[in-house]
This record gives sequence, structure tokens and C-alpha cells, in this order.
Amino acid sequence: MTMKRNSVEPFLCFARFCLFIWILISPSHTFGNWMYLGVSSITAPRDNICNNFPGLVDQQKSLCLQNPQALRGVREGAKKAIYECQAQFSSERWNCTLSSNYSVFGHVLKKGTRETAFIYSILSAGVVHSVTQACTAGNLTTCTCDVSAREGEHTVEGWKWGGCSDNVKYGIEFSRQFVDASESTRSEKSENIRNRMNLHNNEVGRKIVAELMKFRCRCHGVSGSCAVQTCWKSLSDFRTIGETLKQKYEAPIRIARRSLRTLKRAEKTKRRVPISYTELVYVHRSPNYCRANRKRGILGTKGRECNKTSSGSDSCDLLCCGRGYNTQVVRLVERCECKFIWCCYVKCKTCETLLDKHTCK
Amino acid sequence: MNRLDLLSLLLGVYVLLYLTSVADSIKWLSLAMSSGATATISSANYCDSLVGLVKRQRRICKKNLEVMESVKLGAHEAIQECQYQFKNRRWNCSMVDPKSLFGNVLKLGTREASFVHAISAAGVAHAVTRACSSGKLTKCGCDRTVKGPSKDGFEWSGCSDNIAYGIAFSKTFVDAREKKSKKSGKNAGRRLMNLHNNEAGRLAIEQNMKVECKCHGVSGSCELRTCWRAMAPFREVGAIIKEKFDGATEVKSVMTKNHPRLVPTNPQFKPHTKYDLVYLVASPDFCEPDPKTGSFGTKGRVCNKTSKAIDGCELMCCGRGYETRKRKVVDRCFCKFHWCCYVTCQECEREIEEHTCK
Repeated sequence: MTMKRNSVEPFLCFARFCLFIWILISPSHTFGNWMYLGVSSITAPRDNICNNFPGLVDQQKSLCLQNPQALRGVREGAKKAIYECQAQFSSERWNCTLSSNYSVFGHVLKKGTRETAFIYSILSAGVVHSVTQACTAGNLTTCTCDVSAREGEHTVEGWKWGGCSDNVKYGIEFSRQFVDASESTRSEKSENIRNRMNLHNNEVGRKIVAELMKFRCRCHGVSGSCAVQTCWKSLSDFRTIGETLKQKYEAPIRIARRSLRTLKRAEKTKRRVPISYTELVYVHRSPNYCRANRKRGILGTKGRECNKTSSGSDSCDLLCCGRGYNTQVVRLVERCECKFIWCCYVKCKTCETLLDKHTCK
Repeated sequence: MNRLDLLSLLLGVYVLLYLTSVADSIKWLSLAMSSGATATISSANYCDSLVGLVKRQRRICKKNLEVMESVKLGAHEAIQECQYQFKNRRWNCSMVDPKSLFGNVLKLGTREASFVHAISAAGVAHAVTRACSSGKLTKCGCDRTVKGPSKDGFEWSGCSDNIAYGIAFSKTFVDAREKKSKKSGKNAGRRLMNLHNNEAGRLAIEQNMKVECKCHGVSGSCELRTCWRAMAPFREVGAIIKEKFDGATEVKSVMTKNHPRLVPTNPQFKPHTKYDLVYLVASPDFCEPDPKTGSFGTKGRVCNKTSKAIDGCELMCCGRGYETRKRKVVDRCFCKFHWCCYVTCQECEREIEEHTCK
């Protein structure tokens, strides 16, 4: 199954259907996840939603009850992050496959691979991004614009004063309380390193959002003379954040399973080098995702579309893992040779082109 | 399984297979291995001394003794090219030796078999054509049909490669093997597959002919240009056929009007053309040794730690992991030129890491 950007919608419907069935047949869920907010269909936060939503831990429930509006931000953030994950990985062997239960990502989250690292970081970043945007838009009663830059300042270019800066501090704090809460519940020792891996990667996602904040200015004055400027700090668009995290995913740090107080690198010669929050960390090696393995929730790359001429990860060579590809002819019907005719309509011809579509064997 | 067990198992299977003596359609490739010491190439019994030829091929051999040297060379180059193109894959073309048990890879109509057929037919055509151009053969020379002024303002002249002769010879000699088997029946599909792939290999040369030119005139002014048609180097031909291997079409044999025909197994896929490779059976993954499929397994193969492709340790070792060994290599370094005229170098030792599959 390939998950493309435009195929997320039907999937959501499918996921909703599965949720319905799930609730019918099984009263107690196995393991859920707050990320499920990103694919569920619940729109208006109601009183009981906080308590009944699958996969929320107690702290998340009480945050939800205190601030029901913020839950919408979390939902938007998770949705945005899942969408971005699928966009960033659309041409990789693992294409951010969603599972059909509450855990959203299914088997991938059970192991601490670099894919898991990416998922945690982008979801945490998504929550920061959406909650911060909700602050700026005035949708939350508990926060407003960042006022610390309000006073304005004299600069060489002239008088500047602050506009409504995005309150990323609030977003980060909220994400810390809400997203990180999931990790406080599992306390068995074997899970300990996974919890700390997740916490680290959550923080990496949040730091990226703050780091990528941009200054934006607007000019005021006679005919655009820019005598006075309004400047404010604003969030980057989420695509940039996704791209940056994808780069981090390419070169993550493997951590030792036995890390006492601080996380330690698995590579023995570099044990002393501290790990900063600019790096994603993982514990387990990833499988190659080439062949389907239902037990491990891997779909394999058979049937995925590949690019014959590319040399990147979407190339037939890499995506098909050396198995070769099949070719199909696809007919593309387009409007072409459009002409404007006085007055006033446009006349087009329909053109047919035949394209070769390659899919992995 | 320890090594001794494996060895005895393989030996057992070998003996079994030897006794049943499965027909191998590409045994003539063993020409590449034959040293030719048993008989001089000019004598008539040379052809009888060669292993792996069918009757018809022996007849052609006797009639064209002088070409046989090129056929041998072509077979040799084909195997070399196969091993070059597949050096980074799990099946690395190490089993082409027909005396080897692992010729089994070719007995099944896999994608790998289609490549070997195409490259060997192309190898013969290439080598024979080269021999024609270099004047080694009395029966053929340069292609004289390419002459006169061209549309692009140059003169067709010089020695154009006589690809038509090379292809024709390859067709008679290589395809002779398939003429032997019946046109319909159990092996009809395989026969068609081999013939198709042989032809596709030869067409890969014909379709990629180049125009080479030489300038004449005062100090290279190129007032007059003469050009001729030349074949692409065999390395390029190999790469083209390898590309066709990646996109090969799975086919099955169906009877239409009492004639077998190859059609794609999946009708949704694009039907193959005469330039494409076809195969009948999906390949095994070649991860573990399996005499049935002719797989050697990838244990002990060198892999690339950083690559994500099939040569990377992850895929090459099929998830079994790899061992890393450090090896010392001695290179020449700090080379200096001394007047006049020699170069002195120092020897530097460098440590390289080599990864091999478990």
C-alpha cells in the first residue's frame, strides 16, 4: 500500500471505520497513543472527550480538561505532522505507513529505530507549531502574542516596533507538558531507555521549531518609504521544519541501551562526546523495509512507483531493492493549445500523452 | 551448518545432477574456458574437441574455422561483462561456468538467465564484427554499404563496422542451440525466451551504433570530415543490457493457432518489444545457498557499509549482519619527479575496512 499525500483522506475514512469496529469488538484497548488525535474524526472538544479518548494518559486528560481549546491545537498539530511525515517519506522505502489502530504508526513505534525518532520529533514539533499558531490567532484563552518584543527599538534604519510575535515559548511549554506526559507512565526498566529516547527526540522537534523562527517586517510610511517598520517573529512554515527534521533523520546518533543518567553514544570511541538536542537518537537498527513482513508491520516496496531516471531514494534501483521493475502505460489526458477567443471564452484541445509508469517487482 | 556438511551436501547434489544430466542451453559458453591446446584451431578436429557444442554448432564451426577464435573471445568477454555488471548483486554471475553445478540459475528461465543469453549473443556479434573490421577474417570486411556524402555535410568513408555480418553469424551460431529443441511442447516457452533474449542482446549493439569522425585539412581545420559507423564499446553494451535486465518483463507461453507465443503474465503491464528482455520464472532471492535454484548464497561476500542499494551490507547480507576486518594496503605516495627523467615514490601503508557478510 502506498501512502501519498492525496491518499491520506480515504485512509482517514478507513481509520474511522476501523475505530468504530474496534470500539464494538474490544472494550479495552491494547496500546493507544495521543497521536491518534491526528487521524480521529472528533471535531468539537466535548466534556467527555478528554476522559474517553483512547490513549490519553492522566496528565494529558487533565490538561485537556483544563484547556479544551488547546486539544484542538494538539489535534491540528498531530494531523499536520502525520501529513508532513508522509510527504517527506513519500519516496523512501518506509513511506510513513499508518496502521489501522489507535497506535497510528503501529509496529514502528514498538522499536526504537530512526523512523520512530523522526515520528516523535515531528509530532512534538507539530504540537508546538499548531498551539503557537492558535495563540497568535487568539483561539486560546491562556495565551496571546509574545509580548517580550513589544516595546520596540531605535535602529540605524529607523524606528521599529514590535508586532504580534508568535508565542513559541507557550507552544513549547504546552508540548512539553502534553506530549512528554506519555513517557512518564511506562516505568519498567526495559522501557526506560525507550522513554528517554522519545523524550530526547520530542525535545529535538521542539527546538527545531524555535530555531527556525524568522523575523518578518512590514514597512509603513509615505508611499512605501519604510520610515517605520513593524517587525515580529514568526514561525516557519511546517514544510521547512519537516525538511530540517528529515535531514536530521539521515544522520541520527545511535545510543547505548545502558545509558545511566545521560544518554550515551553506542559508538565506544565517541562515548564522551555529549549528545545535544540538535541530533535525533535511536536505539535499534532499522529493518530494510524491502520485503513485506506482516508480523513486523512492514508493507514492502512491491508495487511502489519508482523513478527510472532518478538516482535518489525514489530511483527504481534503490526503491525496488534490486528486484527490478514492471512498466505500465498510463494515458494522460490534458487540456492543451488553449486559445483566448474574443469575447470572452477560452477554447482548448484535449491532448493525450502516453506515459510509462514503473512499479517495483 | 558447518562447512564439511555443506560440502558433502553439495557434492551429493552435484553427483545427482550429473547423473540426470539436465540439458543446459548455453553450454557453448564453455568455449570461453577452453584453452584450445587440445587441437590447433586450423585442424578440422578442433571443432570436435570443443565441449558443449551441439551438432549444428559443430557443423558451423567446421565451416567457419577462422571465426571460431572470435566466438571464443566473444564468449569470454560476455562472461567478463556479466561478472562486471553483476559484481554488486547477490547473484554475481559466478555460476556461468557450465561445468559448475550452479549453472542451475540458467536452467530455470529467470531474469538472470535472460541476461546471460542476451550478453552472450551480443558478445559473439561484437567480437566477430570487430574481427571483420580489423581484417582478420577472409569472409568479411568493413561495411561497404556506408559510403558517399551525408546529409550533415561529411563524407561517409573509412571502415564502418560490419555489424550485419556479426549479427548474422551470432544468429546462426548462438541460436543453433535452440533450433535443436522442438518448436512446440514442454520447453517451447523456454526456447522462445532464449531466442527472444539472444535477439534483444544483438539489437542492443545495433541500436547503439555511433558515428566516429576524423578531420582533414590544414592543421586540423576540419575542412573535410570523414565518418564511419562504429559499435559502442562492449562495456556500454553491457550496461544497456543490464538496464534491460532491471526492467525485464515476466512472460508466459500461450498457444495461438498451434504456435507458442510469449505474452506478459500480467496483461496490465506494457507488452515487451523485441528490444526488451523477457523471463518466465521469478528469481530466487539468492540469499542462502540452494543448489535447486543455483544460488550460492551471499556468505563471505564483500559489501558496502554505507550503501542503501543491493551492494549495501543490509541487503547483500540479507539481514544476517556482517563482519568487519581491517586490512593494510600499501600505496605509492609522495611521488616526486627528478630531472631527468625519473620519479621516486615512497610507500605508504593505509588501513582499510572490509566488510563481509556473515
